[in-house]
Amino acid sequence: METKILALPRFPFFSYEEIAPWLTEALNPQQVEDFLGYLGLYPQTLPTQSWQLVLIQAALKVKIRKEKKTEQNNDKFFIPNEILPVSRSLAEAVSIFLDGQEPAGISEIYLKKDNQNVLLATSVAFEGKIDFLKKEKIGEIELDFGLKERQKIDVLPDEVVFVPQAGTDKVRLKIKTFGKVRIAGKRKISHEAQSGKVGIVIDGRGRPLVPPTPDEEGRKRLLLWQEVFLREF
Amino acid sequence: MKLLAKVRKRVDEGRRQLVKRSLEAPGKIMVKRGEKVEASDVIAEGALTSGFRSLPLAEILGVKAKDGIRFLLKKEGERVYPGEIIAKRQRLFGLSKRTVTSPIEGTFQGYDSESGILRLEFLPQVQRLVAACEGEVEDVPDRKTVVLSCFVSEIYGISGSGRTREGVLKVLAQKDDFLLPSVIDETCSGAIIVGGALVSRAALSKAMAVGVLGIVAGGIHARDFFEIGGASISPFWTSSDIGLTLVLTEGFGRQAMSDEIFSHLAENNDKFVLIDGDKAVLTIPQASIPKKIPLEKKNERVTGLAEREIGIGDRVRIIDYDYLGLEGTIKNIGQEAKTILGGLGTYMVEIETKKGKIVVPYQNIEIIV
Repeated sequence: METKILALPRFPFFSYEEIAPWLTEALNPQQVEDFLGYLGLYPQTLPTQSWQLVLIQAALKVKIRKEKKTEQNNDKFFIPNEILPVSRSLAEAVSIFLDGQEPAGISEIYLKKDNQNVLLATSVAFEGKIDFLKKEKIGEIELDFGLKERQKIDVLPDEVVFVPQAGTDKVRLKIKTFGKVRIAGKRKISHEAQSGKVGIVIDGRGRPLVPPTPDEEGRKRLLLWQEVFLREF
Repeated sequence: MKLLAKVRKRVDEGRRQLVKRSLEAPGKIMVKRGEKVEASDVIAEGALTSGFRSLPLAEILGVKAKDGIRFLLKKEGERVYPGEIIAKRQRLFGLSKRTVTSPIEGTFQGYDSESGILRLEFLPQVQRLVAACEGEVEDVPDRKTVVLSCFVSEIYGISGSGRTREGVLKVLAQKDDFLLPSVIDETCSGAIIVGGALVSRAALSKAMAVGVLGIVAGGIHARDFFEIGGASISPFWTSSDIGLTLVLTEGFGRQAMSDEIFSHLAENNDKFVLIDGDKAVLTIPQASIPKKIPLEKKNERVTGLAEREIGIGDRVRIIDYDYLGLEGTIKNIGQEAKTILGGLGTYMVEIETKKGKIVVPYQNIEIIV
């Protein structure tokens, strides 16, 4: 077996100020910029410290947000392959992609593998401005997997809910929104979704997705968003 | 299982190479194809135009642009000297007078009656191009270029910025020291200086102020690097020239220069060198074939970054961020994949270094040849 040298993502030079809102750890600005420069010179290297992984993932989000050129076909998105070498799971790859691409409404997230399109997840993102300090629910989602009982989820502002589901089983979604938020421009919607290899992501952070502030509070919010994808089910 | 790593050559101690020597503008070529040259031989001579200076003549004299020409005291092509009056306007029977003096030594190039701008050209300077290396003239393709075949040694950096420049090499700091602005003085004007582990923003500014043409350093902070023009090494980076060429031998941040590179630089202190920031290469013309290089190695060259399978005993350079630049020998290669940082799979290699045994992912090493 021959191993290939996987190229990690390559970035233009991002300043600390651009990256900081997406960092889950407080890092020295000079260290951030020098490390990003280092990645440009040695793109084949693997991060060996957690802060390096945090930084690479943050830079990827910024890169995707800046480019917004990800291959797209209506509501289908294809994850850039460069996300995979620095993701510890497919779920984490999906979370990085969602933060960068911030698709609105209902979208399917795919991975291109061996010339096949593999469905990873369906994203349901609430559109509109969200006040993350409020605690009133912004929506309700009923998930019907064809079982006796249906799963009902109340969506709170700024909350990301991850419903893991292996395979490509179809799920009937009934969505209701409250306040000024919408899904695909509507207050009520019924949609047959496929959960894919990762699952269904219900994104209550609003669109456009406003990056957290680069401070302790912002980092706490980021960690909350991320940890749902890192849980073991 | 075949684990691949990039192959990097740091120093090429001597091989025959074509070195292109060029005048800034077409001039007189003083050598012929096949002719033998010494390093100090002048091989071409030309005039170096130093630029122009424009003056808003009509505005200074307080006249319309089309009338400015009436007050000129110089004709096109005439020589001018600093402080010399080149235009004069008298009013009220000579009681009120406005004059324009030349700020430079040069020639009067002309006056534009539409814009009211006067143009002066700095005096051209004679450029004498020396061979810089002992060798043979391979080609004279045009009136400004001579291609010489000579022996050179080369140092390959990791990144750089700026066009090719030439000058005398001056080692100013040790391989793991900061390049301090205080050691950069007027004697460094026109030189290529070697500056240890970190070239700071202050050192860069001082170098530019005294007219340093190039810097070789282990590292620089990324922000400073991109502010001075960036590099063309990465397809995502852009490069521009700020009048000073930089070659980084290790990377970003404070990075001690490799022993091999630093000792070669120190051996060649005070020699004439060519520095190319865009290719990150320092070329040192050599007087003759270095005796210590075995014949079979004289023409060996690693172009780009080739890859090959790693093996126990390989001499490697660690490129893991925490040990960047540390060199050693592979002692062991893991046979089973390991998971690091809770989910990234890789094979680990054990490297014996002067700092002890270090274990890193196989992706985080380069084979040195």
